[in-house]
Amino acid sequence: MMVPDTFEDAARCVCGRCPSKPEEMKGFYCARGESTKDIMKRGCICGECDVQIDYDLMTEYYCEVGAAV
Amino acid sequence: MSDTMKNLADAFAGESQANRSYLAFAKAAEDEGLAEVAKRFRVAAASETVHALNHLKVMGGIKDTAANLVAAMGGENHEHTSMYPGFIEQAKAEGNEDAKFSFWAANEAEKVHEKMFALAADKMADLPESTFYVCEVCGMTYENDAPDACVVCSAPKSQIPEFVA
Repeated sequence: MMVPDTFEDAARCVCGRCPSKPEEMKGFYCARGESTKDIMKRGCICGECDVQIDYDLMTEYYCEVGAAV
Repeated sequence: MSDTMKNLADAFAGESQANRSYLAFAKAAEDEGLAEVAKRFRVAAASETVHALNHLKVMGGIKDTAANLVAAMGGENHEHTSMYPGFIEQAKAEGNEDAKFSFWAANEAEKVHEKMFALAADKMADLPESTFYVCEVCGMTYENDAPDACVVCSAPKSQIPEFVA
């Protein structure tokens, strides 16, 4: 399911706390698409995110695979 | 505009940029464990601030608060309605993702700033006391409460500290 890029959902996003998040301002990758940086996989916390639950998302590392569709 | 007035405007811009650059350089020096180098950057930054403010004062750029708020609103409005949207499109066209997000993040904050100034212009001395929070990562500004994650950059609440004037 696509995730709309709204402030309400962005405020629930946990990307900022993720150990794999690259050094960049962009986050909320399930809505905004993948990072252009290399992702060093140190764990993914998408599964802990209320956005993931509410939109029935099943994938991890949206920072690498791109926005949910 | 006379040449000197233009020079004052250029000098104000240059000194302002030097101030911010030196503060960033100081942080980088501190991160490298070079405290005395950092101190020199911070000293120079403080000096450049004095220069910038002197130039602005001579230019007549500081008026009463009602006029200053109008000027501030105009600047913020220009940034989020004209300047940044054009910059974002250009960054997209050039495929510069970092620049696009940097512009977009600033653009979102400028909208908040314009509203903040508009309310201040409307209420002036009757403004209620507020607490503000500024995201350390992207600069998004929040009044009275910070979200669990920044709505612009998803930085956690711990990186959205209360602003202390």
